[in-house]
Amino acid sequence: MSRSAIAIPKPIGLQETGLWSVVILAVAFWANILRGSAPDDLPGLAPMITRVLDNGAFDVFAWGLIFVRSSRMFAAGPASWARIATVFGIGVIALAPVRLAPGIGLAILGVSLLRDRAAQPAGRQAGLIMLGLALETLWESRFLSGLHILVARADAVIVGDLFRMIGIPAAVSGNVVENLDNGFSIVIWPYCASSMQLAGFVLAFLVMCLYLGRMPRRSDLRWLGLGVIGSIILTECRLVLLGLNESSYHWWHEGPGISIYTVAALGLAVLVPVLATRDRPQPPAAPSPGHP
Amino acid sequence: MKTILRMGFATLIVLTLLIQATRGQRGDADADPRDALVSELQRMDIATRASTQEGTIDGQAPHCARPLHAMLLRIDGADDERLKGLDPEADQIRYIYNGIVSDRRDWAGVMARSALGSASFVLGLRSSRPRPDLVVVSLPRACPGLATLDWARLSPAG
Repeated sequence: MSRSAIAIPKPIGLQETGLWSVVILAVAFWANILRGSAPDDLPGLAPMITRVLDNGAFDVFAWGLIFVRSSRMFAAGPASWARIATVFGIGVIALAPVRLAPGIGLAILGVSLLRDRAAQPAGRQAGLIMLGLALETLWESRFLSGLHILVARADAVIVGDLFRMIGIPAAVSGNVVENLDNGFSIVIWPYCASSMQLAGFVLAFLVMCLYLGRMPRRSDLRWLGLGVIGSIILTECRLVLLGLNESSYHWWHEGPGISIYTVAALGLAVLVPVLATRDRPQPPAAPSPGHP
Repeated sequence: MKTILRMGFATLIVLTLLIQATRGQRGDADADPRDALVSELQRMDIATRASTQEGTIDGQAPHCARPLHAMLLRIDGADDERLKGLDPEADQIRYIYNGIVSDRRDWAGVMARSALGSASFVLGLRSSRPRPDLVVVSLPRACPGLATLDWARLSPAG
């Protein structure tokens, strides 16, 4: 008597699903930036390039690190159907033509990589970077711009105080600071608020720590805190320079000053993680068995 | 099975690119919102002219000697300072966003409507994304008839 066997379909490899999930999210993430999915984004090649550059060197760096790890995120073996379903779910979310969609996908994949026992160290590192990117995407979305406006009002008060400290009379009204010496005033918009850059700074910190060869630790939080304070001080200084007079505003807003500010912000974002990773020397690696 | 799964993943990537290329091209933001506001006021028989106050449009309605004023404000409150220039004693203020007219600056309500509009746009239930700005009109109390006009059309629901 012959007995027919039912062949169980052999699913795709776990490593390959990891790779697919990264590619799907990367395409959605960068497609949204290139197209410009915010209501006030302009069409055309030049705004497209500006949007990519505005998005920051650390986003490109972060994706580079994710791609380097994408083939080693999981151990070899077949993917579970739950994992495959997760990748499809993330892909469906990322279809939405808004920037928040790949952010949500990154958050889901990041959390699943950090919680999955099958994930390798490279997978956990990639998961952490994905959470950093997701945080940045959510933090800079217009749904949180009300929060940044509140911070902008606090920034205006600080800038007014700094003006008075250097002997310039100033008046503050909401998020508007007026230099009473010459009547020049600035409006602090959400994108210029000191809070706006903080998620990018956290991402830069994560990326640099991982680039320097180790997972961030709890003891790094004080360095992260110091870096956040440094980033806020840097923004307040820039706002004071913007509010001095019209020529200073143009120099620091559209002129060479913007490069100086960017270099200073990048320098801070690189320096703090370097100091954090040198803060405590790594314990010497235990000799592996079989090696003299 | 492997091939089917791979084709499924590849299809998601292609669909993402197709949707990005063909849909949701900044929605109604392609038109200058200020021009659109001026055109709509003119369609309401209100003669418009540039105001001495930056960012404000002055309008003259028939049968009302006093001018009305209209302006666009960001929904997130970034330029709410401009509201301080309004005079609620002499004028009735109307805040118009996404087809709803309100007599107060309902920040949470506007943000909720913006989120709902964005979600509808993502799901294909509306053709354009909701705008990031709301319309504020200041109507002279001396002409109560102005308040009865259909101001919702200045910021249609899409």
